[in-house]
Amino acid sequence: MVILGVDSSSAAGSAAVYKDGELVYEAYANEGLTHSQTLLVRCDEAMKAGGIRPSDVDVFAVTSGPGSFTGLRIGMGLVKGMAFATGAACAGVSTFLALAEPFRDSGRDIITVLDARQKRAYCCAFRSVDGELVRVMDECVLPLDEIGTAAGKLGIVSPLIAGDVSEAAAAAVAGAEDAGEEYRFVHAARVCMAACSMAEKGQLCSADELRPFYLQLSQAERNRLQND
Amino acid sequence: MFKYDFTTYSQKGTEDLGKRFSGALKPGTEIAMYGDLGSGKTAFTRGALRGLGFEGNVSSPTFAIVNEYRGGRLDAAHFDMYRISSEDDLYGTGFYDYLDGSMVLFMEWCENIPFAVDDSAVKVIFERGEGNVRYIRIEAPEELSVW
Repeated sequence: MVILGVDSSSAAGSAAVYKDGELVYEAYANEGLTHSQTLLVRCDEAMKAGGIRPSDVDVFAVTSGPGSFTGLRIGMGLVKGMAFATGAACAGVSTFLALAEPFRDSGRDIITVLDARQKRAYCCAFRSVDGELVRVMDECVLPLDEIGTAAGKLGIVSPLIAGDVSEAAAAAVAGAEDAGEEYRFVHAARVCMAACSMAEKGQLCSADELRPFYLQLSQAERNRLQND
Repeated sequence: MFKYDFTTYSQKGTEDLGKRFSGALKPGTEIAMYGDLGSGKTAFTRGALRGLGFEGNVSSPTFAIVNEYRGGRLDAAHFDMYRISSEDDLYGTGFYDYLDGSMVLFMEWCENIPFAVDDSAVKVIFERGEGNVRYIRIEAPEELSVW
């Protein structure tokens, strides 16, 4: 299976190729929101390095959100365009899942956090169980200093925290560990890995069905009210 | 907080004030503007953009929400928040993608987005007087070198 993974959900942008069970190449840069100019160039670079053409790609994978409004639309548009042309399947990978992906085999609880401004974070949590990432907290928006309480209620212990505000979140959650600089932003290689497990579970879709997931404040607050 | 009060007597006077103000702008400066229709926000912005080196048409982006001006002394974006009423609306304009500190942001109708105005923003408050008279107050967290 050949997967082209793309991420432009934040200021960082990347493209990666996964081929025959392993990652072949990733082009990543965190240079600000210039995705409309650079993302396609990165895809081209990754495909050349992987020795593949767009028609060889079985799955086009892209982070589907939450994230930068403009960034998500650029990534979605790009992937939909390529998949529509070749007829290949798509994988819309949650930004949270892509952030948690490196910890799939860690045996730990992982809280993923994205900046929601004003000392709040978009949150989600996973538990690594036998090489699977099981979601243990639904997407929500929480003040940084309430993440610990919310996680405690769900039985999350000594979590690893990944995402762009992991440092601040880890400082506010008792017993938490900041996963560190390397895990602040999504990398396309991790989008490929997540897409690979989605493919095994039959969670792929067509270009037409691919949708961005703009987790917005009001929506997240409604989810939280339902959960309380 | 540094406060500066001005009275202008014509649209050109308001533009000239904006032009002078532009000398204090740096990359990432956010200018939060308050005031009713016709109180001078767009004229002030037009003057400031002239000061940054843009000669073309400058009008309020009421329907486009944002216009970008690139290639002057500083890149700038001009927002009209008149039709924005929630944080979701604002997110959907791509506003938060402009906060990387690279551009000057002129924002009209900040009455509608109190949740998004940063403490570091320069506030400009416009009031209409008799006829063409406008009272304009500028509140800046740092001293503005142009006055």
